[in-house]
Amino acid sequence: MNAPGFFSVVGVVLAKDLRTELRSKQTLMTMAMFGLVLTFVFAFGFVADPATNKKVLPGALWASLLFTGTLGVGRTFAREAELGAFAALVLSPADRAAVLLGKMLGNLAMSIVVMVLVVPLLALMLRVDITATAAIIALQLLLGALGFAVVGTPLAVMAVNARFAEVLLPIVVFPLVTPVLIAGVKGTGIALGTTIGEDAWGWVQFIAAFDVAFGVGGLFLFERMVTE
Amino acid sequence: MSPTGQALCVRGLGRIYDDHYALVGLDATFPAGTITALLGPNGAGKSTLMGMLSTLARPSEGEVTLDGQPLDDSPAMRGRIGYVGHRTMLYGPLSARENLAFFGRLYGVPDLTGRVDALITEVGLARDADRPVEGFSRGMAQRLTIARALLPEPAVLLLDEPFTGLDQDGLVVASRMIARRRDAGAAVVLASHDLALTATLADRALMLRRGRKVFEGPVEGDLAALYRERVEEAAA
Repeated sequence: MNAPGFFSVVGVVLAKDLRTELRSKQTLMTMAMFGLVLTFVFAFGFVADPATNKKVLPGALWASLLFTGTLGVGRTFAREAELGAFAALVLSPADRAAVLLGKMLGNLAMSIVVMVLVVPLLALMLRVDITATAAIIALQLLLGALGFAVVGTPLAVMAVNARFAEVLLPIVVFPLVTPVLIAGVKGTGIALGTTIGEDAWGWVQFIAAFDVAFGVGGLFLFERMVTE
Repeated sequence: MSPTGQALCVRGLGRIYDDHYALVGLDATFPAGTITALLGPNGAGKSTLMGMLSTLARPSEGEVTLDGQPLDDSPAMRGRIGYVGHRTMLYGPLSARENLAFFGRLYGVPDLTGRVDALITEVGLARDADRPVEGFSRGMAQRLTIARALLPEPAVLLLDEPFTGLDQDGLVVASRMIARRRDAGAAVVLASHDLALTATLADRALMLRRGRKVFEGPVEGDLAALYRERVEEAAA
């Protein structure tokens, strides 16, 4: 019996997570509903003249990503916690870093789906034309969502056993993802021409470097987090 | 795959929770090709021991060895252990077949489709194989849990209350599957409060009370009487 390779495990875990989510739609629906509520709050709460709306948009986009992303990572191991499958998962000979990477990609996929829904709707309701900068904003948000996934997914293992994990997780995750949030708001502002700065690409590179650093760190950390 | 290992051994094994010893200085052997009944009242340290034998929990002191090698939580060691715990350890939204296929892929089980079909048929879930597990009764889920643990044909099979929720037919099926794994050479550790059923399966017994060993040896004669003598009367 040969233990499966690293990327094989990533694919198996990712496929399982997407399949269970497509059946229940619990996490995705919760994230999407929350994203839509935030969109309406921002749209009706801050709606003003087009110039002001344009200044508001970066903050609204990244706040939506922050809250929906945190909601998503908090549910990362919910399926494993329900019937105790987490123990069976970590007892398998599969590379635990690969298991975590599969979980991270699952979180990223759900954030992407939610942002595909929220971003155009928010731009539409705030009447901000983002078509000219859509590519760089999409890249920023993609890397930002990855940032939430790489920070939040390993920490979400707390939710399997810890009491008050729903409260504890945001307290731990929010400070860690603050650099991503600041870089994202700055970068998106520069892309839209509402923030002083020369180059949005510098912030893109910053978020990418953050993703790599925390991603690699998380893969090493996870191994130590799963045993009592 | 048939396990050919000698034994699972623990030496000076201890586990402390918040200044409280759940298990103290335990020396014991779980030979390959035998079923060892792990017995004791609530709080005796059975689940604590199971946790450390499974690599899910680290010992506070002492060590566990498998075939003379320290039992760490490396993939190679984990791949040799099958574990049934208090919970079913399954995914509710997935069907019985999908659950076994998922874990089979993680273990690299060869001829997975055939193996999954055979196990599902053996545990009597063929008609429900494609139904989500969240709609299963506790007994049906427990049958699948036993199938999950046996899927990779483990060299060490740890069973913590494996008969929970099983009906008479389920008990017969589970007992047969456990005995067959023993006959294939696995070291089986069986913790159960069902002394009558355990007596029909066990070759040896390890009895614990308040985290300490009170008996270890072959089961000869009446297991229930031995348990009363070593555990219950000693406590009185």
